[in-house]
Amino acid sequence: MRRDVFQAIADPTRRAIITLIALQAMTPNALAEHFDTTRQAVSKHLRILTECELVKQNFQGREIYYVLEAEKMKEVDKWLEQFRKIWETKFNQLDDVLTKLKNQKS
Amino acid sequence: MNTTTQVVKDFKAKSILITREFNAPIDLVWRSFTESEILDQWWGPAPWRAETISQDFSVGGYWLYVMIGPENEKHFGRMNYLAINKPNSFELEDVFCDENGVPNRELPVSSGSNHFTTTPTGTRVEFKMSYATEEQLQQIVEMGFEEGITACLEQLNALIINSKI
Repeated sequence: MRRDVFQAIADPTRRAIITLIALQAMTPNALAEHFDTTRQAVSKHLRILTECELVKQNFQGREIYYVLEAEKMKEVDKWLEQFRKIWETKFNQLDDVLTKLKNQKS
Repeated sequence: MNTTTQVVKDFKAKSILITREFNAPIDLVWRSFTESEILDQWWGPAPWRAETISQDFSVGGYWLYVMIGPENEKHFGRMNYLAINKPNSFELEDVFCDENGVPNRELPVSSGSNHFTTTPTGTRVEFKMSYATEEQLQQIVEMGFEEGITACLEQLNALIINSKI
């Protein structure tokens, strides 16, 4: 299965998890308190997020804290920028077409 | 006049809004978005180009076109027209299809609405695309960028919807 940042953010629970740990590192138990789902479900999402390399584990004593890999989120920005550029290219082409049409009219 | 292309995502609404202003009167901009002869001149972002197969710009009609890549790759798209309010807006549906326009129902459908407004210096276009369900969105995300761009550019919108937390 595809494992990347886009897979990670495609699910609403995972987005919520990211939002929470963006503020502070959290244990799975602390995270689970924020959701109606089971602790197992939260663990599954954390596993996917880890595989997508969007979070990493920090061991402190017997506790595991999940930390956000902020650098990874920048991939999304890159993706967005590519998307914006595609539309910019199309619209710049349209500018030329409109200029041509205006000249035909006059 | 500000001619930057703005892209605003609303991930809760599973939608994305693209805004751009053009230095031309509303009737010309309207024609550029609705007449296939003009669409063919700009719809494909270079080095890609769009070529119309057929078009029926009426409610219930559709535009069937092919995107042709630099290596002659071909990907077919179909834009269904759902509502038309000339020259202010039209509603559409964008589907993946084969060369005969037969929709591929296994792939997500995106809904769009195009709004045109007269401004002191020209015309503003607001183009909003949205997806019905989280699952469709996820499907698009899983398809990945490469396939998304070649299969149908409009479908790319969904990749962006959830891109910012």
